[in-house]
Amino acid sequence: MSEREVGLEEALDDLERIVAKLEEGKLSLEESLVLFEKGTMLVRLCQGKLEKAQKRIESLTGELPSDLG
Amino acid sequence: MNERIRDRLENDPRLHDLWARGEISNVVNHRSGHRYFTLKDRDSQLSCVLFKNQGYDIGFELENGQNILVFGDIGVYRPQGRVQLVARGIKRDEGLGFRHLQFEALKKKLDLEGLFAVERKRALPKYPSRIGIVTSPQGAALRDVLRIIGPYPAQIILSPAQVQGEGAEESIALAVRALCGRADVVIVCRGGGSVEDLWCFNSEVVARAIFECDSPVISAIGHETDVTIADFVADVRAPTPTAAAKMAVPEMEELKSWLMQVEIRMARSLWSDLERKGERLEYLSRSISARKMYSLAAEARQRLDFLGERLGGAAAGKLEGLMGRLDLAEGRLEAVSPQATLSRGYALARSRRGLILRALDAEPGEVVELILAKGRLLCRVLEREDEEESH
Repeated sequence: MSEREVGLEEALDDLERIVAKLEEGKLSLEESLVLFEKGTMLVRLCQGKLEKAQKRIESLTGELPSDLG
Repeated sequence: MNERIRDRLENDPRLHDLWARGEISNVVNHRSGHRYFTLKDRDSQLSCVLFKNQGYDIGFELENGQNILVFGDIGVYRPQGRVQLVARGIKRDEGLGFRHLQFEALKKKLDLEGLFAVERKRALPKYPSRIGIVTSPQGAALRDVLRIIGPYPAQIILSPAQVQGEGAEESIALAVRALCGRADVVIVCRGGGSVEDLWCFNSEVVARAIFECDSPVISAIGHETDVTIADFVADVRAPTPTAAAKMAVPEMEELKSWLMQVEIRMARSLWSDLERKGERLEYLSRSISARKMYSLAAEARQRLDFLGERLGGAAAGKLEGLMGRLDLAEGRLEAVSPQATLSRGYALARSRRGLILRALDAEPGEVVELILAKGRLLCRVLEREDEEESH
């Protein structure tokens, strides 16, 4: 599988599924641990994305007032 | 005092020969023949008077709710100190009325075509990664939207549009179309303004561009009370640009606390899973002490052996039985077959007359046949010795 950046939406959706599965409590210990690890990784990923503050406005015509650039 | 105010106002050339546009309310047809009414628009109102000597030729009756244009001068009614517009001419504001008819006609047409259909309203993405904004780069609306989206980690794509005046309709439609395939959600917004300023959002080109947009559109045009055709077509209508931005992105603090909650929930469920399994282990280990387990194991082993034996025994017994029967059958066969006897060293003697069982069956000098286990011999009888004779 190629390494590609997971989008916030995808990560949050995955996270929702993982939590639901874990809370269902029908997994073996090994499966639970794997999911827990993956979920924790996703939480970090999402938190990282939310913290990331950067200029990310672009204009389709290139016209962008200086106060926004 | 009032006189000085009057002088001040009536001597101001900027307050003479002016046109005012608005809607009529509080019409009073005074006995004197003068007509008093209030002219108002969204934000303000102005007292007006049409004196009898000027009122005969306006060509229609003044009624509340009419949109009119009033030409006149600002004056002050001294006894009450009231500022009023003294009308010298009044005409119907056909422009606005005509536009409203146009508005209704377009609304009806697009509604019939299904552009406003509830079934085609799309849900907004929960976590958009690309947010398109159609608005004026200079407008306050854009700043309001950006302030709200600010901390949310999405790519913001501004599609600049001219949102009022000549050519605004085409500009907005073009800007909406330019976002095709580039955004997960599109905000079409504009700050408050006059009905004329917002009118471009009542055009068919804008409506179709929004309708054909491949991502959900949030409209936020003017103030909460302004409703345009664009609002009807959009997937969601927001009362203000700020509200539109809030609809487009999740609340950051909520999202952050949700993530924290998720971590806690995962840890808790893992923990309770471990606890459940631990309890089970403990229960099992308590109910089976080591000694008990050994004896159980030994018992099991014995049972296995027993079963194995019985299983093996049964199979062997069956085989033995078969073998026995086979032996027996073979023995019986052997008993009747001469071959076995011959193989022990015996031979069969035969003459032309048949088997030679007694010496008398063959004549001396006769050629007889001896059948052996393997092969046969032809022999000549040299001598004959009768058994009866030897006894």
